[in-house]
Amino acid sequence: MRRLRLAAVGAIAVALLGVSGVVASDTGAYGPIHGMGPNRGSRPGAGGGSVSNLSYRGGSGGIGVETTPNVYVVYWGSQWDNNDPSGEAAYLNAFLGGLAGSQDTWSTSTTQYCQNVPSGTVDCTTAPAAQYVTHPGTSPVAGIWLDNAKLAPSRPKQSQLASEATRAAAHFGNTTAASNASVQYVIATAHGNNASGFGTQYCAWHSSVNSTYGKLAYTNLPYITDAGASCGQNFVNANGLLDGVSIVAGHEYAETVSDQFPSTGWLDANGAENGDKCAWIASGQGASANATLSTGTFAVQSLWSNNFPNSNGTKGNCAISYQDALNQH
Amino acid sequence: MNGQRGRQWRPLSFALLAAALTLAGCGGSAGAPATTPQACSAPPEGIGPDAAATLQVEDANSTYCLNAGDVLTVFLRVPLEQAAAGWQPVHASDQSVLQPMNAGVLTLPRGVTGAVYRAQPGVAQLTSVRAPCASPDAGCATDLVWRVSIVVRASPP
Repeated sequence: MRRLRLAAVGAIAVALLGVSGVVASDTGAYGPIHGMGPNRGSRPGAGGGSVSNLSYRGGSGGIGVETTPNVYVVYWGSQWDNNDPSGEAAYLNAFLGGLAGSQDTWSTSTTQYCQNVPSGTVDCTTAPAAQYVTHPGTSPVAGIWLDNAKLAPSRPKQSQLASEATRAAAHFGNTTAASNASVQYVIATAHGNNASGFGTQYCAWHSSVNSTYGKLAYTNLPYITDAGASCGQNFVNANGLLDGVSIVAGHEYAETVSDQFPSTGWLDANGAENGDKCAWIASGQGASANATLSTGTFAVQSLWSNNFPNSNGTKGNCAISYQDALNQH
Repeated sequence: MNGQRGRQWRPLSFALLAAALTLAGCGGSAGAPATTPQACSAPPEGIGPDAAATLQVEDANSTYCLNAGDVLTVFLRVPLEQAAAGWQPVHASDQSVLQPMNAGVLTLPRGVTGAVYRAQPGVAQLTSVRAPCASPDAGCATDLVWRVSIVVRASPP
């Protein structure tokens, strides 16, 4: 019932986006994969290629992962009106909406992670009380909001982004801690309207904020194509203007699912999450590639999988596709 | 006779050397609050979640002041075409002074090496190198070695 209501809200929001000039783009036509040199320096905290697995950090208020992932996307500010030159909004909606069902074998590696287990746990199967991340059967996008009643700050600060996440919680009726326990809010800023440091210091980030509605997980998602190749344009596809949108948004989505309230979920010894350990790999195991979802084809990076069986008998590697512990690559 | 003088002199020389290195910002580190005030300047404004300060390539070879509890982000960038030979992971000389935090909340751009620290009272250095430099002390060109000193005060002055 709740999902139906939210879906209706989302449909209205999508319609509004269309009216406002945020129009759909072709999400399926891409050229062949091309390779680029791996950039291991882009892995924060990875310790120069460390292969240490992720372990559980104990959670916050019992929450460490998203057991039933739900995403709310907020297009923040009237700057979005008739101002989406790359067609990011429709592409992002389609990408996140496709992270469900049997056609999605990309985000599924997160289902090996869990909460309600002792700190330091590496393998959830060793903990009988483990509460696992589940893979959505239908779209995890529970709502989309074009919040264009007024201008967003021209260079939004973290506190303003957090406030917008809180406003979104109210907008979507998630007014209790329980209703936000497995929810993430993606705050998407418009073309030319990104927070300071975007494109040179970071492409996106996720965080959490304590609010009157409980602790909220949110992502600062700038207008990714504003950064060009630095944030993934053409990283997988020769004409991949939007490659970085799904690579970066997917990175943050998967990290929030497995580390809902940083840094209490799943991280390695160096503080890297499941996305960081596999960022910007252009060739070899875990190279970024296209994923075909029910909603289109999207460039994605691989995600760290603790139970990836390596040929040398160890476990842990970057997986671009995951069906189960024994079927991943 | 010579050996005896040597034994008497060695502890003093070590103490002087340690003091000189600390004052120069080139010393190892100190986990306890610094007993001698050390000249330092305010760092650039913070970028990234919760960051009070941010250091980048151009901020090298200086000493910066932080307050205990501050979050420091470090972003070392190379041109995209040199991304395969970017900065190595940043090293803190004393992780009790600059405690590594989860930098994973950030998706870094290609060609950027990042780190996040929470500051505790004391003095520490941050270093990184670029290929082909093997270590900060290898006598490499300055553009291949990145080094800053951080003085963390117990409370705002």
